[in-house]
This record gives sequence, structure tokens and C-alpha cells, in this order.
Amino acid sequence: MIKTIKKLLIPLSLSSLTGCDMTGLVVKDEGKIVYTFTWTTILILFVATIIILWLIRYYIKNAK
Amino acid sequence: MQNKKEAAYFHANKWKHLLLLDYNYILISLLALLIAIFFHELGHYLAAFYYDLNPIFGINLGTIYVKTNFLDLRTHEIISHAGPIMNLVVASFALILLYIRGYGCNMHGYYSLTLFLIPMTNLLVALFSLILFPFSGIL
Repeated sequence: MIKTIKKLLIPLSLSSLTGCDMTGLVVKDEGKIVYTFTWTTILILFVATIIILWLIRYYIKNAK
Repeated sequence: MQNKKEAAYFHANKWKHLLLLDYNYILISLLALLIAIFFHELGHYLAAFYYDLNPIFGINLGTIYVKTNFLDLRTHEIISHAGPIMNLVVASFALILLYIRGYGCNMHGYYSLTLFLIPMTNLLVALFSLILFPFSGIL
């Protein structure tokens, strides 16, 4: 049951968008584990940061 | 008197006005994000180093990575959690510093903006990796 849920959730999760095997954060490589941020993950985080800053900017403009 | 009050307000809220004046905050946010990612990977590295897994800290095509040996699932879980925890620690220290320095009073505007953005990006990276965590790595 849990395995089925995981199988259904993985393609729907954000990690499938990050371009890596499972996620942008952890990938397996020759028996070793690589903890990394792919450029796609960094791009998603950067866009999120800019959106938050634009919201703050919008709030400041309208608070005057 | 009114002008002095206005000047004091402007002085204390320089970082907010910087958001309105120009677009340099985009570059500063990228810098803060890279700092957050560096500390995140440093957390993984230190945890892997603690378990003697011979971690390698490197840069590949601009992205920072940590490569370690695999011991067991429990250690892997701890090392995976070390990154977001390190981000939360850095965010806490930055917030304490921000509280002590008083939101940009007697500071250069860009310095206070950076000091505001470091905890913000660190919290964002920590939350992002914790959301991804159930779907990441070895399930």
C-alpha cells in the first residue's frame, strides 16, 4: 500500500521537475551518494526568492 | 521635527527602500541563495566527516556537491537532515545578528538588505529540502 502511494507520489512531486533521477538533492553515483543542488533546483529557489521579494515590495508600496 | 522623524524612518528602513529604488536586490538574493546552498552542503559534509565516510566537497559546473560513501540507511538519514539543520542554524544566527543590529540602523543599505536576505534564503532552502525529503534518496 505504502509502496503504491510512493509510486504514485514520486512523479507528482517537485523532485520529478528537478531533472535528476529522484530529486535534485540526492543522487546515487558508483555506490557513493552525492548530495547536490542541480541548476534546476537553484532556479526554482531563485524564482521563489524573487517572488517573495516582489510580494514584500508590493506590500511596502501599498503600505505608504 | 517632522523632517527629522522622516529621515530617521528612512534611515531605519533603508533596506526596504532599496527594494523600491533599483533591481540590485536580485543579484544580492542570488548571492544569499548561493551562501545558503554552501552552508547546506557544509552540513552534509560535516555530518559525513563525523561518521568517517571520506566526504569530498567539490564544485561541478558551478554547482556545489558533497560525495560520500554509503554506510547504512540511518546514517544516510542523519547526513540528509544535517543540511537543512545547518540552514536553520545559520538562519538563527543571522536573525540574532539582525535583531542586535536593529534592522539597518547605522548600516549601509546593501549590508542590511544582505543581512535580511541571508536568513530568508536559508529558511527557504531548509523548507524546500524538508518538503522534498520524503521523496528523496533511498526510499
